[in-house]
Amino acid sequence: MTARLGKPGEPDQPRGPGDFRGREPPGGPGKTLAILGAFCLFLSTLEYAIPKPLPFMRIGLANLPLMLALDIFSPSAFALLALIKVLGQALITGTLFSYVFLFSLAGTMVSAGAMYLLRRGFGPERIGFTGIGVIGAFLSNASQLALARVFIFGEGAALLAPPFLAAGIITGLTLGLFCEAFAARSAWYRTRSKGPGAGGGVPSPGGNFPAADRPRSGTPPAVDPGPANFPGQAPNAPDGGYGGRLPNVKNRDLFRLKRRELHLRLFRNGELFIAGFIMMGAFLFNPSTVLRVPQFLLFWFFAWLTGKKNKPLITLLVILGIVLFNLLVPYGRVLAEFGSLRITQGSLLGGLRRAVTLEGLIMLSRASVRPDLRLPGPLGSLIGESLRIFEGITERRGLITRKHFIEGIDALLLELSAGQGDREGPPAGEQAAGTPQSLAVPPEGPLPGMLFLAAAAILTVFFTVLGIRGR
Amino acid sequence: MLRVFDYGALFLAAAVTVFTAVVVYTGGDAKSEVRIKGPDGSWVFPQDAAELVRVPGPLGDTVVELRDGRARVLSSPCGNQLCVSAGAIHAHGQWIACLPNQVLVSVEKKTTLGEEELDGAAW
Repeated sequence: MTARLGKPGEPDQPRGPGDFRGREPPGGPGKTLAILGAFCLFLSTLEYAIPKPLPFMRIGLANLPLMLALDIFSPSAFALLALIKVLGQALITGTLFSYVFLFSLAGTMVSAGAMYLLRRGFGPERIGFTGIGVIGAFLSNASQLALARVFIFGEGAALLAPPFLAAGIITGLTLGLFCEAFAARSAWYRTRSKGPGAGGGVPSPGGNFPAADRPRSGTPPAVDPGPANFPGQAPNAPDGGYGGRLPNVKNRDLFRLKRRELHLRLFRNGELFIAGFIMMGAFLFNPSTVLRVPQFLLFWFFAWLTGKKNKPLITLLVILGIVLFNLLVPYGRVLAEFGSLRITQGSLLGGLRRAVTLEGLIMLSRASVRPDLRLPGPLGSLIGESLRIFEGITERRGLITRKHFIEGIDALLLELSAGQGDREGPPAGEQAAGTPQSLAVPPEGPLPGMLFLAAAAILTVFFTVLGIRGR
Repeated sequence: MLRVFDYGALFLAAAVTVFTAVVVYTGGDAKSEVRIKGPDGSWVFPQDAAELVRVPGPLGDTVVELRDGRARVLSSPCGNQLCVSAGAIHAHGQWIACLPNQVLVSVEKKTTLGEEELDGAAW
């Protein structure tokens, strides 16, 4: 897969994805693509640490590299970066088999396409990152709303539309302004973009991170990269990794870590993925709402076994919310009336089906997709490279502090582009991403894990067959 | 710092959002629904639903068909078959009644308070 930046016939233009007009980083032209892909993933995990007034109001920090790449990449390279962002996030969060991935794919591709067309069509002199951010976020939210209407909320999704679209404007505006500030102060961006200020020049003092103020690696970061189920717990992190009894670790956290260790030891990536794929198919083909419930519970148990953090209350609240939204559009026999709210059989079953399907796929995905899963082909290699660089970034995350947020990101970009600060060691495929060395134990014999997966898959298919026969 | 089309983008997004809010929250696109009442229960469907509903009554089942935005009584165990010959209804306020089997089919617009457009006591 190749892409070009610049016009044909220019002899000194490098070829390949991630071509840029600045200094070519060691490792080839695809390195910039992988670096920006890694930053998409890193900023996505960083955003979880930022308090939000409402759960769905995500700023979309992960789109920052995409917006910066508008002035750097060719259309195909830019599209690749968008795909790396979506697939990489799906692997890290384990949502590859769920609607979350579908929503992310639709939102990202629609907004990325629109942003690229706007920037290249109007030019950076007429439209800045602010306008692009607003339109990008707006279209992303609109496309996700359309999918939510089909897969989750039904016609009740219309009630969510105005606040969701308004949130898109606010978050797009915020991200756009941040992107403008970053582009103005980033030495890395200045040497690579075709936008305003491109073409070199002396980086501003803010563009170089003052060495005297740089926190030492190993110092706890000012910004936590995210919840514990994301890769990034470096072996040299202050708490020393997962091995042994950790101070201030509750017994239930220790039990969860032991489950995680057992899960890593019992199951191999490929088998997990295949079993998960089979179970996803069986689950979606099950026509019976009632029989999807035991399948959902099985997936939940399966996800619990992975040792990832699991919040039952949140899951139940999400299910309740989806059912309530579906009840807003009455359908079928009236079971009860509470004022103007009519509980109807069709809406109740429809809402339950959508909620159980959404959460079931999330649980299944978390259980069967691990971050170190390697996808085939050149895209898979690029994603693997991005994940490897992502691990390196999280080890260097101490550079990024609240006080020097932009400078920290810029310093990391410069380091990575110069071939420094990249994580040494084997590719992530040979060691589970996010797995501290103390947990990188060789898997046990394949038989126990395969038997378990086979049993889970057979049980899932069994419920589907029951559902089909019961029609 | 903001360029010309930045303002344009903001204005366009805000305008679409406000328009959506007006349509959704003020009932600019209020849909009708078909309500079916029988002695043992009631049913509600959006007018564009495609359904065959069996309504049990003292004489047997009255079958109501909803299709293509219209509702009609397909069959009923009553002797005079007036409900069947009444044909299809589609407009707000129209209704079909099968008095012997105690079944009422009506088309009503949803109100924000969920008020009944047809007075049950009068019927």
